[in-house]
Amino acid sequence: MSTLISAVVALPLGLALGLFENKITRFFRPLFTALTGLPPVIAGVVVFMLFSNNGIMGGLKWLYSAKVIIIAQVLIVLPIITSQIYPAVEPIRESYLLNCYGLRMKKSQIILQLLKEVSFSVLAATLAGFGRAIAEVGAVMMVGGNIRFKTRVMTSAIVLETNKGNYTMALRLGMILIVISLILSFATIYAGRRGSHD
Amino acid sequence: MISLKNLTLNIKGEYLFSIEDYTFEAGKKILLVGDNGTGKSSLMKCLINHFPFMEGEIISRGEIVYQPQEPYLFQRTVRDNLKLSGMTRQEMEEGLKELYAEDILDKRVRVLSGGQRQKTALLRSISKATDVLLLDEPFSQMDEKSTIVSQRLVDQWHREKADRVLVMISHDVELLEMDFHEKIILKDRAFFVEKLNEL
Repeated sequence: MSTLISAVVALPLGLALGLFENKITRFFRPLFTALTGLPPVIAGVVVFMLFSNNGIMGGLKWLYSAKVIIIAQVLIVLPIITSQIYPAVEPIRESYLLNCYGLRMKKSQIILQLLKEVSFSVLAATLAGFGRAIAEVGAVMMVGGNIRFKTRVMTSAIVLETNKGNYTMALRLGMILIVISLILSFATIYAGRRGSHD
Repeated sequence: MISLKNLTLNIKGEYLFSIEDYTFEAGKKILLVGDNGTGKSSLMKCLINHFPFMEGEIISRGEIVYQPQEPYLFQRTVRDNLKLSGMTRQEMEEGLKELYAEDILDKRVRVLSGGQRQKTALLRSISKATDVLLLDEPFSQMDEKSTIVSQRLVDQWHREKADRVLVMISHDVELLEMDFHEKIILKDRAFFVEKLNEL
């Protein structure tokens, strides 16, 4: 869910950052790139402070629920997806727009076609974001806790099993996570290659 | 028809040229020549309002289609590109056959040669253009045979309607077998017009 929300926000954002060249985009491009290195625990602290009883969103009583986990993950994943979309648009911008204007394409056509042009890069960025989201544990446990059937995710379950000394179970869960991560990594590499070749 | 009045091109302080009063008249085929960097492509970009470094007035009647020097082909196949210009399957096949390129219809654009890319772009531009067609070195990567058939195709487009305007940039003027009505020369930061054939 967090990847889906991030992708929906990151897509127009990434396209806009790639398509336009002005002071705003020149400021936000390096900012989003820098935020990809944001320690997840910082995102966790920010979300925790916002949604704790004394925080400005405390009245919602969302702390230790799946909702805040999603919010924390969006903060982590959004810059990752955004910062991978705009570099796909930037190199083709001038030539692409010149040809579109030359062919008298409508604005809606220009945007739709651009989505097709960078579709594999968008897919690769989304997969990379998903990979980061499922591997996240610090921020997730900080804001969501580790409540069975509510806020326990794969990574927090591994932490729990390890703390209990149940290393076999922790390793089994870890293996599943590794397999998922590997599949995602290969899919990302494949999508990225298709994107750069097409 | 496109009229230019007191047009000045000035890229960040570097003066290119100015045109006091000139009209690309309906029905004419105009050749635009000049050395590299004299502003030929910039002038074409002005005509489609995609050049920020200009002052003056441009009045145009009719739709202008412009094909840049480096045509960008959209994902993924030649067919997709031609479809985007509203061509039917029959038109695509006939057009490509005329250009000796019938085998590229379902090819991905990334595997096309430079000449094949230009043929695709030319067909796309021609099918889209109704009134004014601006071509920036459209045959530069084509072989001689392809250049000749492409010129025929452009000529054919121009003849279809009496008031169509064609403006073309070319360095290989000796290869051109088209009867242009005027030649615009950009030289020494100035704009000259040479009459070639009567309309």
